[in-house]
This record gives sequence, C-alpha cells and structure tokens, in this order.
Amino acid sequence: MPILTFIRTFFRNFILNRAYSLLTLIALSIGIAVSLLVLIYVYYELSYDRNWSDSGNIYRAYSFGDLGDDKINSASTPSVLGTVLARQEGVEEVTRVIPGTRKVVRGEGIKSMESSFFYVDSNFFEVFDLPFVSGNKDDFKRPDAIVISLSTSQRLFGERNPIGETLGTQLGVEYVIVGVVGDFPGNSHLSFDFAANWCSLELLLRRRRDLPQAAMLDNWLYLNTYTYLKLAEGVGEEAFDKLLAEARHKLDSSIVSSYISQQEDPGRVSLNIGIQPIHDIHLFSELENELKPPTSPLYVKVFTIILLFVLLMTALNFINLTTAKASRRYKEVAVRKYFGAGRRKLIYQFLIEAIVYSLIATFVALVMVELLLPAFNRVFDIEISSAGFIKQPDTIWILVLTMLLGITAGAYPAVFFSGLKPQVAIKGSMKVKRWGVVLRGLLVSFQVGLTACLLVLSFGMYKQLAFLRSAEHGFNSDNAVVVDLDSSEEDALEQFVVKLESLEELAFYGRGVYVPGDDPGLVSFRRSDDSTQVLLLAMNHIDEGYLDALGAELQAGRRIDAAKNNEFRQEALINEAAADFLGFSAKDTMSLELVGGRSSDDIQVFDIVGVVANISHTGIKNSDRPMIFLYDDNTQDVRYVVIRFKEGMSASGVEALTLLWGNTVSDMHIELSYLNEIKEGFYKDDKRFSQISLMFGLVALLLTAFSIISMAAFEVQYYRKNIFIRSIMAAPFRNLLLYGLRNFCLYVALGIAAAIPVSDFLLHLWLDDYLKSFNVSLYVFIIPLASMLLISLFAGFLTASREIKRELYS
Amino acid sequence: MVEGKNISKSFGDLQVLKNIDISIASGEIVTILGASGAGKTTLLQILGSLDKPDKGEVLIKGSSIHRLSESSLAQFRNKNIGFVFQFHQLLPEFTALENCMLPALIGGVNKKDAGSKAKELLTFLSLADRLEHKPSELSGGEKQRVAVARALINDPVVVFADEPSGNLDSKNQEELMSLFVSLRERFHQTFVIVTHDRHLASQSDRTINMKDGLIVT
Repeated sequence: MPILTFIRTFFRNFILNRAYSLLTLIALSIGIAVSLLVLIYVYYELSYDRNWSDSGNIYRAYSFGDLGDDKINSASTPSVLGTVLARQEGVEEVTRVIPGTRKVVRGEGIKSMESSFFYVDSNFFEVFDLPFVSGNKDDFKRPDAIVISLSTSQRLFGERNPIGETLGTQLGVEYVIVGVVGDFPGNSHLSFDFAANWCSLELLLRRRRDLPQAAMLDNWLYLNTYTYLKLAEGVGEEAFDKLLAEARHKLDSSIVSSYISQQEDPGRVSLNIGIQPIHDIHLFSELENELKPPTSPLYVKVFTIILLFVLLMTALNFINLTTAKASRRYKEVAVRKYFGAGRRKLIYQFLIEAIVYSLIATFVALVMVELLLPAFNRVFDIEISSAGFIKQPDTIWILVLTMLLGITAGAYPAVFFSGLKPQVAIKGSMKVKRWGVVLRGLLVSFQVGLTACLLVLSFGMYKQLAFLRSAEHGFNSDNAVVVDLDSSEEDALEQFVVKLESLEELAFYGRGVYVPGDDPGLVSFRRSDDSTQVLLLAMNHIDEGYLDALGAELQAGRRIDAAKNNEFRQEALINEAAADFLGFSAKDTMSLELVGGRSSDDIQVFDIVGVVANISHTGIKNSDRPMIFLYDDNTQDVRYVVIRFKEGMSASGVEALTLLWGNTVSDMHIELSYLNEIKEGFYKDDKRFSQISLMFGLVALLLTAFSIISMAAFEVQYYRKNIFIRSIMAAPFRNLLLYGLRNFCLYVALGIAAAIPVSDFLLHLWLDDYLKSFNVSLYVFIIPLASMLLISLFAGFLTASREIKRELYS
Repeated sequence: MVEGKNISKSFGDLQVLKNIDISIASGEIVTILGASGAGKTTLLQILGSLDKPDKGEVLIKGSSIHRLSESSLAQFRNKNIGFVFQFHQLLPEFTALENCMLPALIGGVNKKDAGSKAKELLTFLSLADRLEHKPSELSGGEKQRVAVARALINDPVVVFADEPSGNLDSKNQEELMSLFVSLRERFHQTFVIVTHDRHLASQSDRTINMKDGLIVT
C-alpha cells in the first residue's frame, strides 16, 4: 500500500480517537520541545569560540608557577609576553587584550560611564574576524583608532554613523572611531563594547612612568594581559610547547632580569607559560582571572544525560499511550492480516504513523521552542536565537532526530501490533504477557520516583537559597545603598559627599575602594617579625564611616585612629578570617609590611589594631577571605560611598539622594545599587540552578503525568472483563475503580518509596558544596513526595474513572 | 479445491481436532455444523491458513499452504482466500468502498482498478448508493454485505465464513444465504461456512457435522 494511504489512515484514526490522539501528540511535542531546548543548550556550550574562521589554530597563553608559597595559575599573562612570543617559530600572529578599568567616555554630546572598555593590539581583528558593520579593519592600524560594537553605537549615537567621531577617556587619550563591529557572539569568552588600539596608551605610559598603570610595562610579575596566538597550520599545542621549551633560556633571562628589577628573589618566583586552544577555554579552563566565568563540563554532561532521559521518557510515553488503547486497533490489525497483509507491511504502517506523529510533534515543538526561548535564555543566562539555531545543518539534525525518535518510539508498537495473532486480535481482547504488564508498571515507578527526586531537590534548593539569603553576611543589607563615585569630577564628588550629611534620611555614610559584590585584589604582605613568609591578603581602603554604613561590627580591639597614621606607618583592621590566618588576638600586637615597595627605604608598616566581622563579598557559600582594611578618605582613591538610611526612610532617602546627585554632579546619571540587590546577586547562580531544577522537575512531572494516564488507561483495558463482570454483579463504582487501579497504586507507591533514599543522598551531595547549609528536616521530603503521590493518584483515578465509564456504557 | 488431510490440533492437554480429513470441491457451498467446543472454528482457521495443525496438511489448489513462508502465506491468503466474520469487522475510519478495496490494495492492485472492482461488487450487492458511507452509517445487513464484497474483491478460490449470520435478524440471515447462493451461481464461488444454525445449514450443498474434534457425518 502506498505511503499516502498509510498517512490517510493515520489521520482518520487520529480524528476517530481525537482525545487520546491529541494527548499522545501533546506528550510527544512537549518531549521534543524540551529535548530541543536541552540540545540547543548543549550545542551552544560546545560551540564556544568555534565561530572564528581560524579558531582551530587560535590559542591563548596562560601563566602558571609559584610566587613564594602561593601558586600562580592565571589566564592573564605579562603584557611583555606578546613581544617574546611574536618572535617564536610557528607563530603567525600574536594579539593581546588588556581589560581597561571602568571609565567615563566623552564625545560630542556624549558622556557615559563604560565598563567594557578593552585595549587590543592593532592586529586583533586579523585574528578575531568580527564583521565590520561600518568602517574597516585596516584603519585600526592607526595608533588612535577605536572600534565600537554595534549595540554601543546604537546606544551612544542612535542612527548616526559614528565613523570619524572622537572619544576621550580620563587619561586624556583621544581616540577616533574607525569601525563598528557586530556584537561579540554570546558563545565567546571574549566580549567588549570598546576596543582601543593599545599603541596610544602604551606610548603614553612609556612617557608617563609615574602613572600607576605604567608598572605593567616590561614587568613579568604584572599579569594583566590576555595573549592570543594564531599558530601556523600543523603547529599544535604540543609542537608549540616543544618550540617554547627550546627558546626557554631566552625567556628565563628576560623573566629573571624583570624579577631583579622588581626586587624579587628569582629563587622564590617561577613563572611558566602554557597555551590552550581557544575553544577549550569555556568548558575546560581551570585558570583564575578569566574574562568570563567558565562553565563546568559537568553541566554539559548532566544536560546530555537529561536530554537522553527526556528522549527516553518521550519515547516510552509514546509507546505507552499508543499501546494503552491497543484493543481499538486490534481489529484493524486482524482484518489486515486476515486479508493478507504481511508482518513487514504492518510494521511499515505503524512506523510511518509514528514518524508522522513525530513530524507533526516536531512542528508543534518548534513553535513551543520559539515561544519559550526568551525565558530559556533568561534562566540559563545565554543568548540563543531560534533563527541562529535553525540553520540548514541544524535543521537536518532536527529532522534526523525526529525521524529517529519516530522510529524508536514506533518500533515497539509496530512489532507489538504486527505480532498479534489475527484470530485472537479479531476478538479485541487484550493479550499481554504478565512480564509486559510488570515492565510497564516498573517504568511508571521509575518515572514517578525520578520526578519525586527532582521535586525534593528543587524544594531543597529553594530552602537552601532562603537560608543563604537570611544568613549572617557580616553586613546589614537593609536600608542601605551604594553609590559609584568613579563616574565624575573630583570637585563635584567632594561637594556631593559633603552635602550628604544634610539629608534628613541619612543614618550613616562611609567610603571604600571595595564594597560587597566586588572581589578585592590580593596584596602580598610580610609579618614585620618574620620576613620569610609572604602572606596574601585581600586589601580594602576605607574611611571612618564605612563600617557603620555597612552595619559591620568590630569584634575585638578598636577602630583606626587616622591621626596616628604617617607616610611609613599606619593603623589597620583585619577581619576574623585574617585573624585566624595570622593567629592574631586582640591582646597581641602585630605589624605587617607591604611586599614590593618602590625601594628598600620605602617600606610601609601596618599595625593591626582591631578585628572586624567577616564581611562577605561574594556570598557565604565561599570561605571568607583574610582581609585587611587600611584608612583612606581621599575621594579620588575610594570608589564607592555606602549610605545607610534611617529605618523606613529608604525610599524617600533614595529620592533625596538622586536629587542631590543631580544638583551637584549634574552631568552623569547616578550609579546606585541597593545593598539588598547586591546580596541577592551573590546567589544568582544558585537561584538559576534552583530554577533550572524546578523547571526540569515540572517537565518531568508533566511527562510522568502522561505516563500515569496511559498506565491507568492500560490497567482498565487489561482488567476490562473482570471489571465488567463485577459491574454486572452490582459492585459499586468505587470498588471497580480500586480493583482496576490496585496495581497502579502499588507502582506509584514503589516509585515514591525509592525516591526517599535517592533524593536524600542527592540533596546531601549537593549541599556538601556549601560551607553552610540549612537543617534538612523531614518536611523537605514530605511536602514534595506527598504532592507527587497526590498528583499521581488524582491523574490515575481520573483517567481510570473515565475509562471504566466508557467501557461500561459503550 | 480445498483439502485437509489427517488434521490434528491440541491446545495444551486438550485435543481439539482429531485426525480430520475433509475435501471441498470448487463451487460448493459447505457448512460445518456443531456445538460450541466441537472444533469447527479451529478447523476453519487451519483451512484458512491462520493457524497451523500439529499434524496433517492443508492443500488449496494443490498447494500445501503450511509449507509456505510467512510472507508467501500472507500473499497466498490475499490472492486465494476471503473471510467473512460474525461481526462484520469493517474498519470504522473507512467508507464502504474503501473497506471493500482494502484486500486489493494490500495485494498491490492500483487504486483505480481496486475502486472500480469494489464498485462493481457493491453495486451487485445493492449497495451502489452506500459507497461513501462509513460503517456507523450502515444497517447490520448492509455492513455484512460490504464484508462479503470485501471477501470477494480479489476473486478468491474460497471464502471462509465464521458464523456470518450470527449477528443478523432472521430476514437478513435468509438474504445472506441467498446471496451466497447467487454469488456461487454468478462467480462460481466456493464457500465454507461455520455455523450452529441448522436452518442455515440446510440451505447449503453439504453439511459436515462435528463433535468433540471429530467429523461425525
């Protein structure tokens, strides 16, 4: 029989059993849509930095080695490395990326605080071939050239063509826009709004050695540059390492002379350089100082398992749903067999039906994906457009996947139906072996159990998130805001800070270089009484109001007395973690010295006078870093002002603050963050993971519901004769229902019971990653498991009730 | 035409057919009569190639059908055997015409030829105005006539009918038997009919009585 006849038969059967067919189609569509979304995510993660035309030959250099007792393991390298590597055999291009600090960018009618400003070598666009929307890459050779991204151009210039416009920065360097490039793809570890030719700044820094940034030039201990290499065809990672080893002695001599100039003992410091393929960075880099946080390959593995699991559940649901009402198709199979249809032809027919189901479901799923993609992007923090995904090769994969799913899911019903004996099938009675019934039941147990596990995990994650939010962070996040002072002129800022005191809503205010949410840089110290050990401490400069404004408490000792500070000796506070690290108690006296002063006569000594509570900067899931607080009240040095309002006056305080900013620092928008929002940001990833878990829990619940419906319908069909006989013998409907579903209830209970130890193990495994976690009580299991049980029984009894009525009254 | 030699069949410990010998000539209408459990339906299924005997063989047009492979047997059944059931067994999603065409299409006949042959048969069976009706829109007698047309579409050597009138009223029972007779006259068709209705059996050319797996007359 031709395919078209089978397709027509499919549609007629579909209409004839429309309710059940629609349920099958919805189950299949949801399964395919979820599979596609997971596939898109996995594909996206694996495609990082593979878009560059020569990505197979692009590598990034990284630094590793020892600095005293500390390990160097950094994605950044010294800027001078680029010059050395460019001379290496096998290297076609070397290009460097130096992240700039947040800065105010000025142009004609433009003044904007920008945080994504990079300095790059003039050959950057030769290696990373971003498309130029306007201008061209050859003009980037000029020393004062700058290229901006398309979204930045639209943000700053609107529809105006920005080519030729001049942009200035705080250091006084002026740049000319020579190109607008398309935004970096989301699946790249690199991203910028501004790329300025490094040449101009380098020339300035060579002229102005007094500028702090000049320290990076020719300094092998200053790791702030990302160095990319394009290797010649055929020169891989290993071959290059060999070439580098051969040239090592030259490199060593440069490094050692640099150490000596920095007054470091070459014996205490060792710096090595390695390279890694650019497309391995996102998933396999374990280096510090990455430009974009890498993703663990574990996520990709977990999501691949989820993908396979969803596909398996979808296929099983399809099988269960198509065979649950098998008796309706028995007669058709029997008649076809009676009239000479061979088994192969019947298999062919059922496979075609499954494929048609899959193709329609794929179309519905693609619509679902299109609708769900924005929310999916938001939850997963990625940037995928359906247009970007559905390119020709991917479309073929989707069709292949669909066909495979159709064939896989259709295989069992095809074999099942085609193997029926016509003389038995013509009677329409269900003949399924006992092991088949048990297998079906166990599959339901598995799905119920797995869904219950996911629900317990989601609930546990929600509880842990609530615990993290409410836990002690060393500061009080209520009624406090942080204003970024880095955005305007010193005089205006000074005026703003002075006038703050006039706000009637103000309780406290204080300034600091770092606030919670920032990651304070590590600085090397030595104990004055033990110069053999380098101590790495996070360092923050604060004024006298900072701790009160943050609501951070002094645990021991006293506050800094700024009057006692001089150029060589200052008072300092440390946090509790540093006190533990240094073995300091308030009864002791302890002094620290800064390592790497400008000269041996210029040693700065810090006397520790007190211990502050651990102020969490990145959330309490990480251990508290040992930290030192130094005094600084210079507005130009400290970046932030923390403002605490009086109880209940937060809203009017922010209003007054904004007004004050407008009156004093009128040319820039106020950059204001609520401390509560900053604290919330610590747990962004945990929140995301919890949302993802809940999302998959709900999807699993939905897929399990389809499985439950098909199982309940199957059980009624399987016991229909017995149910019918009991009905004739005047058994009440409730008894018929319980009789029909007695095994079903057993399988659901089995799934729930199995979920208890498994979810307990998984929840504790997940909580092990946290330093502090909530107390896991019984209700964390009871609420989701009871919900799962109730949903399963409700869906099962509803379906069975409907099926029994249909069997009895038809 | 149809010959069963020494056919035996057991289900577990129960022997349903015991060394049955049967021969049916071309154009003959034979009824197999017997009480429930006599083995008449099992014999019909074995003669109709749907089940295999434990012992013995079945010859149709001289071919030993149970020696054929599964696919050859399916093809053989399609070309040479027609079936009529007690409950018409029309497919609800198809019209009368399509139900009738089904065996021809399974046999690889093109749609046009199958359609014209089906129309011819249905017209002969007084169903010309019911071609596009679905089974649910037909009366019991009409459904059974469509089922008979479906059995005849491939010009089978023999039509096996299992209690074909069991679900019909007496008027339709009479009409169905008359139809078999007229079809035999028109197409020289052979019928083997299983029934427990003695009145119906009396209208056939020959009646075979079965009891406890044996032919008693």
